Amino acid sequence: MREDDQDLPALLARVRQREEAAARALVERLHPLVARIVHAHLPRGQDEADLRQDVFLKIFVRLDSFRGEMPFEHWVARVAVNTCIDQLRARRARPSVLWSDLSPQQQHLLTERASDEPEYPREQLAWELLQRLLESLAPAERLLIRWLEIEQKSIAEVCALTGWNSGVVRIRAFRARRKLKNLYKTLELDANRTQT
Amino acid sequence: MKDKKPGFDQFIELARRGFNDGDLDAPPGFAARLAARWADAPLGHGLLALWERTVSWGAAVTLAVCLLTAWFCRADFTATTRAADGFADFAGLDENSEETP
Repeated sequence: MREDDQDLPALLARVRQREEAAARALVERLHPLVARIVHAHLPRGQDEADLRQDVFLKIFVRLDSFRGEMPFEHWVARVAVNTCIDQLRARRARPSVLWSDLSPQQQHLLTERASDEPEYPREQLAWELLQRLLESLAPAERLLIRWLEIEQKSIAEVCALTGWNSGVVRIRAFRARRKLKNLYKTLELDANRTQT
Repeated sequence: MKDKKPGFDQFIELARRGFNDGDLDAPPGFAARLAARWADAPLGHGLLALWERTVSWGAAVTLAVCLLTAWFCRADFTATTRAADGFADFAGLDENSEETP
């Protein structure tokens, strides 16, 4: 039997006894969940490994406070979300995205005309551009846009993963979407200016 | 000529279709390194975190007490009172004294 196939309570009990093999199995088991959350906070992959490591160390340190009142994955997601927000809040600087910062392909997405032949997959360009725009938003806003708009999670799922109530999620998501829309419109205006 | 550039909603729709999570599996050795680092960490790490939390709560409570004190004693802290007291101290005047001109 593989290490990560065994049931979770037994694995957690072994980690609480500071068993290294169990800790390794737990990291492997939780890695996709944590990586997805960290990646949503750091859209372009900066320092991802460091942040993932911090999340896991925090999970280990706080493991004793997990009482099983909620699914373990939800508890882990909350630790990950809070760690990411705390870390990124300290950085303050959120680069604004300028037209001149975009790659020629990304600029093409915003200037193409109906007669243009598609040179690059538009979906991929849009996803790359969205990741750039998300860097200008606050950490929690990035996460909400990613979960609600891109992964199309429900409000209830986001509440379960973050521990926020639905009102908070709705308001933050609304603000995040408005900010993102304004950023996109600014780029559109720049695109129009360069065309004329 | 008609534009093909996407509006905001269409842009989000395109991004949704272009979205990929990338590789979510742990890179080789990541889990082993992390587990070893955690296993080697001194147990005092938890106590340190507890101490950190106590200190920040302590600072918050102190600030709250200071603000409350300032609020309840605000009458004694008005600018006029402070200026008059300062001048009286400087001039050696006692406003309750009958000798004061």
